[in-house]
Amino acid sequence: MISQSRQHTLLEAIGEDPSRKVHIPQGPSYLTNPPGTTFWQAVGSWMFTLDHKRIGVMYLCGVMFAFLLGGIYAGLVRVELWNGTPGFLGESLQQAQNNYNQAFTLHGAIMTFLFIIPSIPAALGNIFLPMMLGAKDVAFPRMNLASFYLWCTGAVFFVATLLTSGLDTGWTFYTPYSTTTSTSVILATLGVFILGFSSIFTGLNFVVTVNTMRPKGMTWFKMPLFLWGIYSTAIIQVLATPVLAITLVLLVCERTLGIGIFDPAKGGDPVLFQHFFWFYSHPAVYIMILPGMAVISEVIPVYSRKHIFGYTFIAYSSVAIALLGFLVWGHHMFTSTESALAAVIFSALTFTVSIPSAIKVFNWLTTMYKGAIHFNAAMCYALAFMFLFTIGGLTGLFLGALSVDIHLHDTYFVVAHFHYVMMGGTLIAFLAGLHHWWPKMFGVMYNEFWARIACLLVFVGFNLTFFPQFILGTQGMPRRYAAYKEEFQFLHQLSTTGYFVLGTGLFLAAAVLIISLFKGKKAPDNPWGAATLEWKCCSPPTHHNFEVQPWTGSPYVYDDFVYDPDAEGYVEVLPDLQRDAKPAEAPAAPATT
Amino acid sequence: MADAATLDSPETEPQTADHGHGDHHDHHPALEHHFEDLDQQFDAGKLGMWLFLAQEVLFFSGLFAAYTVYRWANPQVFVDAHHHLNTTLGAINTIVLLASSLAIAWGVRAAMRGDRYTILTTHVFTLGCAAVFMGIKTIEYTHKWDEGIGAGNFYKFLEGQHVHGDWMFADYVLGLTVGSLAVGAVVSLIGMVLASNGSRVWGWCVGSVGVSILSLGLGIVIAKCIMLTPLEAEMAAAHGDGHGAHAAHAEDHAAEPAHADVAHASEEGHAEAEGEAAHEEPYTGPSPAERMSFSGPNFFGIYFIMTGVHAVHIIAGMIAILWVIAKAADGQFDADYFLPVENVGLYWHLVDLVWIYLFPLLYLIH
Amino acid sequence: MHPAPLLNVFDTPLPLAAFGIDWFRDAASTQAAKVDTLYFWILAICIVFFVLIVGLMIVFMARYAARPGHVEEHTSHHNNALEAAWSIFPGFLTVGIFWFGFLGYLDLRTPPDNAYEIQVVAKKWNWSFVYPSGYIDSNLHVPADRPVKLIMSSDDVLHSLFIPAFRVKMDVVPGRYSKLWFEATTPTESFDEAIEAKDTRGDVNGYDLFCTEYCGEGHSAMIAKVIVHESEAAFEKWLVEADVIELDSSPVELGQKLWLQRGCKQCHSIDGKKGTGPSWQGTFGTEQDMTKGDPIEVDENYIRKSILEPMADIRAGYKGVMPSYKGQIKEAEIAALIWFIKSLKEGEEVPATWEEAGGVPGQETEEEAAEGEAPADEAEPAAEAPAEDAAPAKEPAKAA
Repeated sequence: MISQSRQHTLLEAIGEDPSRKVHIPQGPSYLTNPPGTTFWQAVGSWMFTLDHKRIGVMYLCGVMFAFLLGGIYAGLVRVELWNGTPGFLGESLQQAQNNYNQAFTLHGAIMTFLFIIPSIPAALGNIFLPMMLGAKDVAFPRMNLASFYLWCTGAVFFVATLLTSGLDTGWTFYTPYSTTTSTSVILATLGVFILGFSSIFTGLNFVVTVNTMRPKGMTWFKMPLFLWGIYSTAIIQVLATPVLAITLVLLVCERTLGIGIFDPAKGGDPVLFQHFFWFYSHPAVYIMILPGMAVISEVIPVYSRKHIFGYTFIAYSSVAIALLGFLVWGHHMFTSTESALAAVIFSALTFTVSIPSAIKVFNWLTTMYKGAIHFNAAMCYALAFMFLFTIGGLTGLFLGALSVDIHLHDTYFVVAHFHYVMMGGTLIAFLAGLHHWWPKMFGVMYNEFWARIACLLVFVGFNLTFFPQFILGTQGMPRRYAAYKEEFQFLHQLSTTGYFVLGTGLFLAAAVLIISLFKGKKAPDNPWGAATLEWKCCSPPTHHNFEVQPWTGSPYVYDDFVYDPDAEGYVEVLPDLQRDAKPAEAPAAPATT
Repeated sequence: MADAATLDSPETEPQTADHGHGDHHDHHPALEHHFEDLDQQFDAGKLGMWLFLAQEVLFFSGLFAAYTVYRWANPQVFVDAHHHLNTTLGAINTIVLLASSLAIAWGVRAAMRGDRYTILTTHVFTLGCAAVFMGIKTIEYTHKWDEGIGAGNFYKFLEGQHVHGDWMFADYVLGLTVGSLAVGAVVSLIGMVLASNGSRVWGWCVGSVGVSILSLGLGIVIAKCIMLTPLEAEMAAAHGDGHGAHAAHAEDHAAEPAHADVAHASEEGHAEAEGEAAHEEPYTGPSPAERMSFSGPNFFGIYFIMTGVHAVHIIAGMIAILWVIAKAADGQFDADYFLPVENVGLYWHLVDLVWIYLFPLLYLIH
Repeated sequence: MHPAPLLNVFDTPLPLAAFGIDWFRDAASTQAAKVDTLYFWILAICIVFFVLIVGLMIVFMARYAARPGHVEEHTSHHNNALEAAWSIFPGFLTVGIFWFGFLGYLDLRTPPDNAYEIQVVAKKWNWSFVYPSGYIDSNLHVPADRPVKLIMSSDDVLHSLFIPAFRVKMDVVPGRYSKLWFEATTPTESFDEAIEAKDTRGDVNGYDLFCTEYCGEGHSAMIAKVIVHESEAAFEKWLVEADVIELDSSPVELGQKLWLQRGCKQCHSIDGKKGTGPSWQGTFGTEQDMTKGDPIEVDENYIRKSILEPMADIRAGYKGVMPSYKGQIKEAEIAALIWFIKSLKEGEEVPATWEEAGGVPGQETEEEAAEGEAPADEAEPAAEAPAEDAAPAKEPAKAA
């Protein structure tokens, strides 16, 4: 239940003048079809839909399935590591090792390519980016649908990999192992190649949409920060992914034709592959985290009832992270025989990326200062994000420092670090966004109490799983080991225990959300009192999003949103000044500062 | 660049769209429901295309980077291997692509003026050029195959020996030439008949396909003629004579670091790099001297991938041009709406541009 | 070079041991202490920032929680001075961290001139350490208090050599030589070759040496031990003793020792269990199906060929993953391995001494072999051509 933070009632706010209350026209939900539609017509209406929201919902289902699959593989890895000697994944040592190698490879590849990269941009972004712009759709709806089907095709290739001889190269496909192993490298790389184009299409669509389809009055610096984050992400998607694509083409040629470009026996260079790979995959790390930061930038001000602090710094820091992200790929290769000079330059550049990330955290914190903080599930996840991302970001300092990285590289310290950023960052932000926008997406309210319990379990389970791994790494436990020495066992067992707590939390969160689809109360149009445009249409929206063009105000001024107990949600009240102005023709929004 | 072209066009004035203008646009059949007006749609489409081109540039940049690294590591391989490439054929292909780019730029201009007939003729000409290019490429590729020069593992070429594969493309070239010329001519005629009988779209499409097939044959003829001209024959003979010197050259290089990592070598000094070359062989492969004989596969690995990926783009461009021809024949473009013409034109220029870099890098550099 | 007095503050390990957790293995090289110092400095900085951020977050959560009677207050939406402060101040800190990391790294990358050189050959999935005398061992023996430089190369895929106690790590790449140096400070107390590396706890019985670059099936078993001898003299003494082919022992015993030391046991069991490769138990003299061609009898010729050219004839049911030992194994050692495999078959007669076995193979040509085998121990890397490189160059592998 939402308690109103402002003390006056709706009646007090609008006085005797009901015309000041902004009326949101209701319409048929985008999820439903007109009465009389047959089953197959309904299936077709989803399969061939050009509606960005439906595509987003299909993406959401897809990535959640991929997440489940990746999570199961994570479980296999963790259970195998309960004991130092292989056993769970196979009777003989060789069998167990082979299965373990496949499990961690598929866990990494599925989570990276099928889940994290498309999670926030392609699922949540697809639904809310056009709505935040007050637009009817993205710029290229057909390309958007093509992007989804490319994702499906890529996913099919991955499933085909599972059904054939699996994949045991690690998600990084390092040569020469990937050119010599007997597993289905070609199937998997083709899958990644196709997923890359899915990602490029999404990114291209978003850049064009943000550039050309902003409503009148929404200048660049009046955009919600979610759009800045997604925009920066989209630029990386367009510019970095093709390099991965061509790298994988070369890898497939190397395997099939033996062209020798990565083969030292033929005058090639195996480390060249790492350069190519990380030129994409380091920016890809920011494809993963920037949208997470973007979600948090939306959630924190809404539930703190405060204008975001340092808007321009947060916006610029997104762009700075995107651009600097292209210059630091060499820090994955400090021990890969790259020259000392290159290592020093990449180390120095790496530290510059930490500053924009720190700026964001400080700004979020200051946004909370003197606010009225509502501990809704979305905000709980956002606070968990701040906690976990701070750890993830700070431990990056160890890995950026050259001499320390030499010791920590390819140990569990790295595993813990990137899980804190990728999972503690992106996944938690994804959950925050999912809870924040759920009422808008599906028009139902979930059970707040159980959602918060799930959040707590996820938080505790996450830390229990990954914090011990920092210590393991410092003690020298190498990555990707199916068997380990006895002294590491206690911490590994803590970690495996954490996996089950974390898994329980995630299942609980999923159950709470899914149950709400059937049992949930109907959601008001604006349950949280947010000021961005997507809340200025009905829940769930109609096919065209907005039946009337919404008034484009500042995305972070909450004074005009008043809690209406009858609706159990917030209602926008036009300020006195604009009493006579019709919403569609209202003057530009009040200054943001 | 293309923006400037748009501004030049007095008929369209896309930059000065006001509400009155927009109202007119609202009824344009090409306007999609989610755009406010054609200008917004045009801007979006154009920006989308430029981003796509940026993406393409980065896609190719991976290949160019691979080329650079490999060339840096093995300079001698490039000197040796480039003897097997026919510069004249490459040059003709360059000219053909430049001509096609000129034609398609002309076509875009015609689209801005609403001149449907010029759009169609320029695009058919472009398609013809593309097919000539592919015809010449066909001969270049098949000739190499017949010599035993394939990518990587398919490289069977040995100096002084003629490799006979299980089957030779040369046996089929005559049939392919005559066949494509004949089929192309017939299909073109059918297209013309169709077009003059009122089915304009089908007529132009079939005609374009016919012209493509005909031009493919033409390209094969041109390539074959060039390879048989006295100058080329002389060069081939000289090349044969040069084998001795060529081999000696190779041995000189064998002593040099075959793949000293650049950063590594500079860090550790030249002596180190030479030491590396001397015992760089944890592999049970051939010795450095022998390695020279299989350095060819690496150059041709890169050669076939770069030109092959480019050829795939040419084919994609041809399909796109055919699509524009169909839409233009259907009368879908006018001075207010010609976005697809312009976008396909931009794409074609990029494909052309990539070749402009490939030609000197692969054929000309010594 | 290092502002030591400043850093000395953190030279003493933080009281993390109070949590019952040893964060680091005991430092056993000259570089390790510097790495640990920087680590703890960064840790201290992180703790300060973490407490600051999360502490403030918790204070705000408590202080500004929405409740009846509490209304949010409008504060400024931006403050350039504040933004600049929290951009620039952490900026300085990162410059500092970078700088000390950089200094430490230079130290790690720059071996002293007088370093003792040992060649390292990594292959799936074992380590071979080639000493200047040509002796090859699967464990790394080094003298204490003397800089040691490893010149490493891989026979197949990427590997990475990591010694946690020394805080050093470097990838081992096929087709190029990478280098790593350290100076061990603490001698190993005792060393028993029979104890497997993975069965020891911590750095007991030698320091752990891991492969940290994923290299396939046996990655997690690619562990060796670093044995630090008390002095250079002790090390030299060990080397001379180890290098002598133990003609006193029987060929079978030598074969067993090689099986243990040279990585055979990673894939070939001697108890009949199927591993990455076929078990040696009872295999001698049997006829086995091959992946290609006719069945072949496992005789002396087949064993010898399998050691030198493993890819030529692969047993059916196994992947061809064995690296070649061409140039890395002496004729006598091959003979010893053959005797050892023979001894695992019931009914095979094995000689008790080398004399019985008809002499030590390859001894007549000992001088010739030594020429190819032993990398000259000049510091000049150009002259380092180790045996494994020279041999295949002379007789290129033309797989049968």
